[in-house]
Amino acid sequence: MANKPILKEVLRDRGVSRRGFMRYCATLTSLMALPAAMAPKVAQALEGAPRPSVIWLSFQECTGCTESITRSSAPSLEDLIFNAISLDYHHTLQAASGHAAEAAREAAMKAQDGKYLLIVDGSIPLGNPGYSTIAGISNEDMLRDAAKGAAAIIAVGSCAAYGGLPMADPNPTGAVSVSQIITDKPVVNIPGCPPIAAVMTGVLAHFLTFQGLPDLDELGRPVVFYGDTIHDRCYRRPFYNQGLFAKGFDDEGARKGWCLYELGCKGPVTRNACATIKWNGGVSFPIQSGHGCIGCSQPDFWDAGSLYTAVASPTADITPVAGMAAAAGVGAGVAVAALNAQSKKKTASESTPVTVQELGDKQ
Amino acid sequence: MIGDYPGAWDGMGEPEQSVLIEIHRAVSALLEDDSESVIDVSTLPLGVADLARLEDALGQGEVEATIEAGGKSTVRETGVSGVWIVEHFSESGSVLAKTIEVCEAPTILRAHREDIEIGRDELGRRLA
Ligand code: SF4
Ligand code: SF4
Repeated sequence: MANKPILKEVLRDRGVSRRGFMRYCATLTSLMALPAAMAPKVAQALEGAPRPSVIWLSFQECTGCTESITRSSAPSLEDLIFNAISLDYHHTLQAASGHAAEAAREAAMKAQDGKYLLIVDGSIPLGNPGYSTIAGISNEDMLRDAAKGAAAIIAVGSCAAYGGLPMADPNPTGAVSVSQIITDKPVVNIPGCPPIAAVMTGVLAHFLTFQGLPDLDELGRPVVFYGDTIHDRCYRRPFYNQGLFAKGFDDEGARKGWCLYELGCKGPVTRNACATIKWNGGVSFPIQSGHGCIGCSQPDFWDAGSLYTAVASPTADITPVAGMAAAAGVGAGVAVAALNAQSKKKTASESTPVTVQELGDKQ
Repeated sequence: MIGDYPGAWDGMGEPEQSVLIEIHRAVSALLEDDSESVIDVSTLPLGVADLARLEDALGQGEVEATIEAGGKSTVRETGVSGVWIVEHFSESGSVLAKTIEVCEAPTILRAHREDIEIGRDELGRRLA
């Protein structure tokens, strides 16, 4: 902690040159749609961030979100930056465990009271506190306690943002999202199963550079990354527009790269940046690899029916989402309206695949 | 005529004109008080054809460099000295960011103090 190397040293030890870091800050700035002249400020903010600026708590989760950030492209600058800025207090990654780790967390919270960023992955079980505890402390208590002194809270991954897999029907643990518990502070949702690493660093960099949060939509997501659907930015879109659909994963259409809508692609109802930022250092994303989007960043995607049926929308339960909108300080009416819009789309296609004819009518 | 730019009237209606005017102002600022500017090309309201016309209008300068620093980046000086086009590419070759920079030399091109120090120390060790 006190003797932890600063970002500059971490980068140097890993052979990342100054140019490499400047290049990273330039692309991050562009990604966040910030004015290009901000790049040196972003670099400065990342380097000058006091440690620990971030406390990361893991609740009911699979560690996939942490994997996404630590196993991102090589040399993983996302990983290095998180390491230098925060990860003393990452439950999964820190060396200490048990009471020693909790004591360290409490000391950090005290030292940085009111200033640290709280990152949470995983959902919180309300059914029985014993379903998930850390050093004997229930997830709910730990979240409430850590939230008190946080400047802002980031719910990373679909579980923390919307309940995710643990909340899937019949929700055996009574899982809820972060924003269903914390209602008096801004909660940024970075959904995705897992979310894209660059989106996580982008929000962190924004927070450090401007001492504030980026613009959020009615579901608490940063607009700059979740403003468009996958379908809006999909390179297969021209085929969709022409009604050219693959009907099987190995048919002629699939080989020609036609639209995957009829194979269950949820791109049209999924807001995420996969089609532009892509995965594994910008190499590819699911649709480019021949599989439809499964809608992993939407609320309740697990309960949306088959991944391979052309159903346009997840069957979202209205209660938790309305709660989320209220927590984000937005009228619940917005969330209801959004859901209505979704369910309208759903009725349009119900459970039978949409025909080319119908698609033509919709445009 | 757009503002003080009578020549901007030719080819009026072409969106790259206003960017050229912005660049002209930036170059003047660089000469007057050393202030540098950066324009993120992805934020400009330019289509592919507009952008190609903009690059044509700026022309080709004397410098072209490829940088390998955690990925490929390129720097090209345009025909207007002090106006550079900087591009950062992903592993698969797609453009991650593209900027027009108005300065004596783009930051990414310069050797940085931190790296120079490492180089000196390394060379020193070999000579010791
Ligand atoms: S339905 Fe899916 S594959 Fe087809 S254009 Fe939309 S996002 Fe792309
Ligand atoms: S393409 Fe769809 S399912 Fe795949 S990671 Fe992106 S949002 Fe999730």
